[in-house]
Amino acid sequence: MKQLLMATLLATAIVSPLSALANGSAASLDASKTLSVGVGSIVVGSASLVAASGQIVVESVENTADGVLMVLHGVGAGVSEAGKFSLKITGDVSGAASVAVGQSVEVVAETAGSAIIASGKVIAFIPNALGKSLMHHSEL
Amino acid sequence: MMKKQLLSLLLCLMLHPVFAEAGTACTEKPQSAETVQKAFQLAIKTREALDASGAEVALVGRVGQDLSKYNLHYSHMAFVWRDHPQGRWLAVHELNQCGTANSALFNEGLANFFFDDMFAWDALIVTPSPNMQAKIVALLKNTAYLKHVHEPHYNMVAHPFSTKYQNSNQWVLEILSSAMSEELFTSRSATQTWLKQANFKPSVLRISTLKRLGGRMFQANVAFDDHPNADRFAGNIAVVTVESVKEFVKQQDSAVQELTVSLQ
Repeated sequence: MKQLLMATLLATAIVSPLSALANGSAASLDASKTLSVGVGSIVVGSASLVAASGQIVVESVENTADGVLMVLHGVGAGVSEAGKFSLKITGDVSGAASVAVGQSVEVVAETAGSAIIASGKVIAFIPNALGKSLMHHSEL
Repeated sequence: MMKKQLLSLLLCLMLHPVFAEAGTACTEKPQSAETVQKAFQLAIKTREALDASGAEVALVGRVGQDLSKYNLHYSHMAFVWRDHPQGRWLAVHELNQCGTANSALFNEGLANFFFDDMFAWDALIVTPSPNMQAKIVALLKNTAYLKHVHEPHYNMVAHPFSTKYQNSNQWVLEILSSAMSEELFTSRSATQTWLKQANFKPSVLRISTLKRLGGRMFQANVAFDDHPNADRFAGNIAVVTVESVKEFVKQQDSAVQELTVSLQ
């Protein structure tokens, strides 16, 4: 038992500290593929609805060739069928793919666009003109 | 008995989460709204500072990791070019691909550049003299040369005077060497010979044998076999870091400007 404990401590000591050396690597790597959040664009409906809607419910989630297509609608007083919009999410769709139909999501307006948040995490970011001007990713 | 110990050690290493993550494909994790907001805020502030500087090209550093135990703050450096053909103020840099032993060159917007779990929301901007900037821009326009200098075998602790591997900051330094020497080096070894003659001083990290073993065995993007044995056994690991590149630029170009952008 003592030996196992020693081995455990030794192993932990060996493998842990190197991560702190990363140089544009490990932690930065997710960013190397693309912005590590799904990038959303409204394909049906109005972007202003996104800003106006406090609470939004997921009506459907569909995987497409280049991402995820999500249909959402606003809930609450005064919100009609017109408060429905489709959001196409590309890039990192891991957050969007984990969202269930019927789940509530939140829209938070930020300087560079709107963040669609589910369970405290950003599943998509819809950049405005300012946001778009700061985003680019291409390989040389 | 010895066998048992070894088995326990191996089992333990296999169960350790770092082992599971090392050198594997990118794991994408959803970000918090605060992280997204901060990445854009730092990108906006950095762009404002770059615009105000009047520069057409600069070096930009970010803090992706806590390197304080090595007396370092910034972890990664890129060129940032105002009139990039694909967009204004794009970063041009080498990135390791998802913890593998390879890297590639990318053009990225400033938001992409800062979009990560930054350890600190600080950006370093190093602006060379206008004369040096013009030379750097000429090189950035020469995509073939940028690729020629790039060594895709990535090692985050690559030795500064070995051509076996290359880390991200080393690629920046080797491009800068051509701007400073006004010579399009035909090989990385020629570049490194010039760097030695020009008195480039890398950062020397103290890394113990245990850490070296762990890094080599369990992280595809860490290797020490390019370091001279004497230095390796003494635990002195020379690396091209943001700080060492910055100091070298200052040494070569007396008109260099340095500023820091931080989120409050």
